[in-house]
Amino acid sequence: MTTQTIKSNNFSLASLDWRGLINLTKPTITLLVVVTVVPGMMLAAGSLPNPWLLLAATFGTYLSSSSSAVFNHILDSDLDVIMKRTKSRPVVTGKIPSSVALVFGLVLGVLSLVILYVFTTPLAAAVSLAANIFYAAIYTLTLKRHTVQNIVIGGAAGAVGPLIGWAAVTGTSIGWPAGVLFLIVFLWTPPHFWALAIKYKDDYAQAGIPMMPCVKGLETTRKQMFLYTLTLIPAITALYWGGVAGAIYFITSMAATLYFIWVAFKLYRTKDDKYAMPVFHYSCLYLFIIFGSLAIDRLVQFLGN
Amino acid sequence: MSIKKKLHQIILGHSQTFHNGYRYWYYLVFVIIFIILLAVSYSKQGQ
Repeated sequence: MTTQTIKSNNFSLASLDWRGLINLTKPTITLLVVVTVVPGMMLAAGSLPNPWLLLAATFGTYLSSSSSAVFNHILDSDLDVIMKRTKSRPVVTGKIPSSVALVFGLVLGVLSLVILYVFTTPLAAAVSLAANIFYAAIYTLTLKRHTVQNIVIGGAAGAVGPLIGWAAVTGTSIGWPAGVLFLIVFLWTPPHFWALAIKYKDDYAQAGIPMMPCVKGLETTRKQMFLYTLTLIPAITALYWGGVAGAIYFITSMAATLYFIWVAFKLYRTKDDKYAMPVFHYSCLYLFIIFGSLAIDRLVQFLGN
Repeated sequence: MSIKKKLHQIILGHSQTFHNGYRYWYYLVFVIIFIILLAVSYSKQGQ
């Protein structure tokens, strides 16, 4: 399927680029969000959640996050076409027409809402919908294009996983442990994203996106990244001191956080941007370690009771 | 290459062994944990 066939309106379902469709959902980022749902559910339940509820909440969140990603591709296509990193995205190249992407995003969004509403709780569906609207309308169209704090504030959208998980179990309120998990992802986002922004700063500058390295400079960005990693210490330890997580989580998450601080510090101290992408790659693994260790910690605790 | 250096490369995604796979190996770990959770949760139902 070539761009020419798309542009000449010869698009048909049979010629649909399924790989492009999957890429629209940003599967790696989406799975990162899903990873944060499970511990939120375990903390809310105080035991192992019902397996069907677990499946419904994670699958619903997966679809919801995928829907957000699709809308992001559509709304950002005017910027993506300028940037080297994103100019080969399916909507930009025409492999997936905007109209098809729009329908795909709507189907995913509606399906996620139905699953969360029917099989979990209305509150979980409401939190998910609010995050989607915030990400697409407020972050993508406004924050990203107008403020240097774009990904700091926008990080809230990616941090809702634990809130959805908690709401899926309780249905009435969201407890402080879910708030702490939200905070961990929220504080994790700037060093994660700015590491990428350092590597692609010229790309972002060319597209006129006010990312931190373009607006405030590399030195300030490296310093802010390091400071954000430091703020993770109180957030990480709060669950242990609050009595909702045990030693497995505490030791593992502290070790992972100290290493995160170290790689961020190395970037800051050496002023060498070759250390930016290692920070980015480790930050992805970091989130898995934090939420994975919490899930294992709770599992061991529940099985011991 | 030392084990320490190899491990470091795998963690940070620079390993040729795990070429382009750095994003995926821990997703697999998550899926395994998730399946264990589902299985244990399912087996505990009704107890």
